[in-house]
Order: sequence, then structure tokens, then C-alpha cells
Amino acid sequence: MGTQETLNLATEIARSWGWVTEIKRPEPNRLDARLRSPDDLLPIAAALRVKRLGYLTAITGLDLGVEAGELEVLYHFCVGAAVITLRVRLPREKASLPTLSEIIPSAGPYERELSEVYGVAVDGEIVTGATLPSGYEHRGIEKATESRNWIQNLGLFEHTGDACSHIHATAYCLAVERLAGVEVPPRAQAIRVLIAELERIHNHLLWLDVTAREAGADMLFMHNWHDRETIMDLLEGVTGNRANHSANVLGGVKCDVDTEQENAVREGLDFLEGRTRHYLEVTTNDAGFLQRTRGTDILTRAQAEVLGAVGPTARASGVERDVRVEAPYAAYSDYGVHMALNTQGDMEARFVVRIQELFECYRLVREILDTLPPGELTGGVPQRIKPGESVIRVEAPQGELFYFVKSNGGDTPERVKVRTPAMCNMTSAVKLAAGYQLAGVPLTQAGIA
Amino acid sequence: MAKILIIDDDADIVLAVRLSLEGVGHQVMDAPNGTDGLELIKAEQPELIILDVMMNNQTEGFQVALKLRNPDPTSEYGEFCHIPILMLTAIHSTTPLRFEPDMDYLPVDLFVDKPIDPDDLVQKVEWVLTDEKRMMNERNI
Repeated sequence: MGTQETLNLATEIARSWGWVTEIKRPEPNRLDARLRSPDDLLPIAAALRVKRLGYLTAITGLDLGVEAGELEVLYHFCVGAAVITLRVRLPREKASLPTLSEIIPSAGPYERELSEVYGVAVDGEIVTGATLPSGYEHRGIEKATESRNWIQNLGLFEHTGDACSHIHATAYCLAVERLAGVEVPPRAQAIRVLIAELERIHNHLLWLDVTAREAGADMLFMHNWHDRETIMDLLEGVTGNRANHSANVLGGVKCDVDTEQENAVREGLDFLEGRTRHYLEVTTNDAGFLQRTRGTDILTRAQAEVLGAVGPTARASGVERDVRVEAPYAAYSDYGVHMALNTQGDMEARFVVRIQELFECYRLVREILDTLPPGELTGGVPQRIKPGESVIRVEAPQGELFYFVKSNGGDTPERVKVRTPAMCNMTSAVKLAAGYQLAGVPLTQAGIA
Repeated sequence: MAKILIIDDDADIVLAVRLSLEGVGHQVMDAPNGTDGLELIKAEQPELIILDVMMNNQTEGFQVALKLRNPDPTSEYGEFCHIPILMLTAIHSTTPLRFEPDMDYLPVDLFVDKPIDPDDLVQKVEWVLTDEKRMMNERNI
């Protein structure tokens, strides 16, 4: 079929059932047809498809401006040299279009782009379901522990999470120490908690970075990323390492805190506290930011409980779950923790809870520094651990972290099971993703898991 | 005898087709639009679909056929792509455009214009049903 013949056929299709209000030939090889309504898009596209004119080449979005209050979307179908443009207008507010992907599968990526750039909701971009493939922990780290001795495994567990290496190592140490019946000196327990809270600050700031970015707040992300350097410096100052802090040994810790380090930590916290007030201001007042966070991805208290949410995600839905409060470990029984709670259950609440927890971390770290008990840093742990099983729960920055350790009396564990908090919260993220726009999934995932 | 689904928004047509086909022993069910029809296809897995075109919009029947015969292997309706489709429509009385079965672009097995004589319809249904195997081979299923 020649170009003019194709364009004539397209014209005939467009006119057939009054789908278009205006037809132009802006270029010799192009037909430009304005649709009467977005409702006509699917029927005309189906007609083009069954007449072999359904190769969708691109979708163009045009913003006609705030005054016009409209967006225009152009669907370009090509056959040979012929181009058929279907033009449809939409209100800028609540712009939505039906998806063509069921009859023209290649439309999917173009519609996604339209959704991202112009905020046009395309019906087919609604997530209908999500699944969570899992099991990597056992095949990876858990299995690897069985061929490493008790001390080597400590280094391995440091690598389970990037911004939570210390809490993983702490949980493992607590489990092994309990099996071995070893008393850890009070100073070591306090330093563990001190580093855990510094790490929580790092982790919460990292969460703020990433989640703010997924919410489209790049400026908040960049400022936060810069401020995060302060806490990484503090952690490096105390432990010697920026990411995998390696502060724990079986039976205690290997790093002490001297006056110089203490002063550096206090100074750093003063700076971060001021910045955190700014974050609270931005995340609860910035209208653009709140559009993405207030009232979105709501997890009710009942849902959070049933879906097994933990950590700040659970607390942002009003569920009182915090291992530091419910079952204090290490030195937490000496330093009371105030649980930050919020009942909104939306993305904004998750920001607010984490920011409130940052303030609590600053308070806790200062209190630990004020009252750091004197004494030894380690109690000895034997090379072979007595047979038995131990279950340890700690409050990692993202929520409850679970370790099960089993010894058969040898120099390697018989079994170590790690259940990370992200694993619990992914159930909520997976459930919440369904029914929402695909473009919103990264925020849901970053914000909840 | 076969399990046949009629997807048509015209209750008179549905009744006429039902009477003709039940008269020769077929089991007949119906749906008034494409959405309900697709649900019924999933639930009942009919052996033949008699599909109208102009329902909620002018090409709804085309859309149903395209969804059912979507070549994407992950398509929601992939397992029903072998069910023969007899397109029964008055579309040609509303447009000078001509439509006919096209393996890739209008993937139906037979295109029949309304109105149709009941005996003729029964004959065409039998033809599609007995010819199903051959067409499945042609579609490499």
C-alpha cells in the first residue's frame, strides 16, 4: 500500500464513527487527527490495528501550560513512509488515559514515559500484583557460615548489610556469647549500643536520602547525602571503619572511646541535630514533597500488625514494636529508649518517625557518653562453643533483626539463620504496591522495606 | 455437542442465536460486553466464541479478539488463544470499511455479517468447530 493510500485509509477509519473532530495533513506523508475524547482512543487504535496500521512508533506529551489547563498527547502510528498522528487533549489535573498495551503490547514503555514525564496516569500502569523471590540468605551467607569457624563468621556477618553491619555482628556475638555462657563487660556493652545508635543515625539518614530521591526531592537527597558524611566520619573516628565497622569481637568490642573521640561525636551530633530539624521542617511542610508522601501508601495499624511490619515502618502505623524497648539487650536496659510512634501510617509518617528517632539517637548517644562505665572491653570466648541453640532479636535500624544460632559443640556453627527486617517489611511493600501506579513502586519499596 | 459463548449487547440477537444453537444440542452461555465475556472465557473455557464487534464502543469485539490472540507468551489470555472465534457483526452496515479475518491483525476464524439465517449460522458454527483442528495446526498450536 502506498503512502497516500495508507493515509486515505486512515482518514476513512478516523471518520468512520465520528472519532475525530479535525483532520489535517501537516506534512505530505502525515495525517494529524484530533480525537473527540480520550474514550475514543482505544476503539480507533483497535480499528487501526485490525487494518494493519497499528505500529505505534512513539507517544509525545505536550504541556499546553497552566493557563490552558490542558495536556495534549500525540500517538504516532507509522506504516512505510506514512505517519498517522492521533491527538488527544486532557485536563492537567487528574490526567488519565486508557492503556493501549492490551491490543498493542509495545505501547507499555511509551505509556510509562508519558506517566513519568507528564504525570498522565495510564490505566494499564496500575500494578496488579507483586511477588517476592527470596532465599538468597540461606544459599549465600547462611550456608557459608557452616564452613567457617566462630570468629571467621563474625567478619562474614559484618557484610550482611551495608549500613547495618554493626548490628548484624552484634546480634551474632550476642547469640554466640549466650551459647558460650560468657559475660560481656558493661563498658563493651555500652560501646556496642553507642555504635549501634551511631549506625542507626547513619542508616536513617541513608533512608532519608534514598526515599526522598524516590519521592522526587533531589535537593533534600543531595543535602542529606552531604550531611551523612558527618556521621560516617564519626563512625570512622570511633571504629576505624566507615562502612563495615568491625567494632565487635566475640565477648566484647575491640575499640574504646577516648575523650578526643567523645568530643568529636558530641560536636558532630550538634551539627546533625540542627540539620535534622531542617529535614523535619521540609518533610512536613514542603507542599511538593507532601504531594508524594501525605496520604500515600497507607498501611493501617491492623494491616501493619497482620503483615508483620517491623521497625520504623510498623511504628509509623502506630504498632508499638521496638526490641530495644520490649526486650532490651546489650546495655539498652541501662538507657531507656523512647519509642517514636505515629498513627497516620502513610509515607509522611515514615519520614516523621525516622526523624523523631534521629533525635532520640542523639539523646541516647549523649547519655551513653555521659555515663560510659569504666572497665574491660572483652570477656574471653572459647574456640569451641557449647552445644545448644540460641535465638537473638535486636532492633536494627530498619526493625527487628533475628538470629538463630545452633552449635553442635564444634568450632563452626551447625546452623545460623538470619531474618532481616527488610524481609518482614517486604510483605507490606508487596501488598501495598498492588493497585497503585507502577511509577510509584520505587517509593513504596524504598519507603517501606 | 459444544459449549458456546455469545458475546453480544443485543438481547434479541443473543436469544435468536441461543435458540438456534440449543435447538441442535449445543450448550450456550452469553455475556453482554467484552469485559464480562473475557471473565466468562476464563471461568468456563468455551469451545467456540461468537463475538459481536460494536458493543460499548465501535470496536470492542476487535479488542476482545486481539486480547485473546495476543502473541505475547505472558499474556493474561494466552491459554485461551486456541478457542475459535466466529465474528458476527453488523459493522459493515455502518462503515464503508471492509473487515475480514486476518491471521495477524484481525485474528478471528470466520467473519459473518448480521443478519444471518438461523440454519446458516448453525452450519457455520459446525464448520468452525469441525475445522478447529485444521486451524489450530495452521496457527502452529
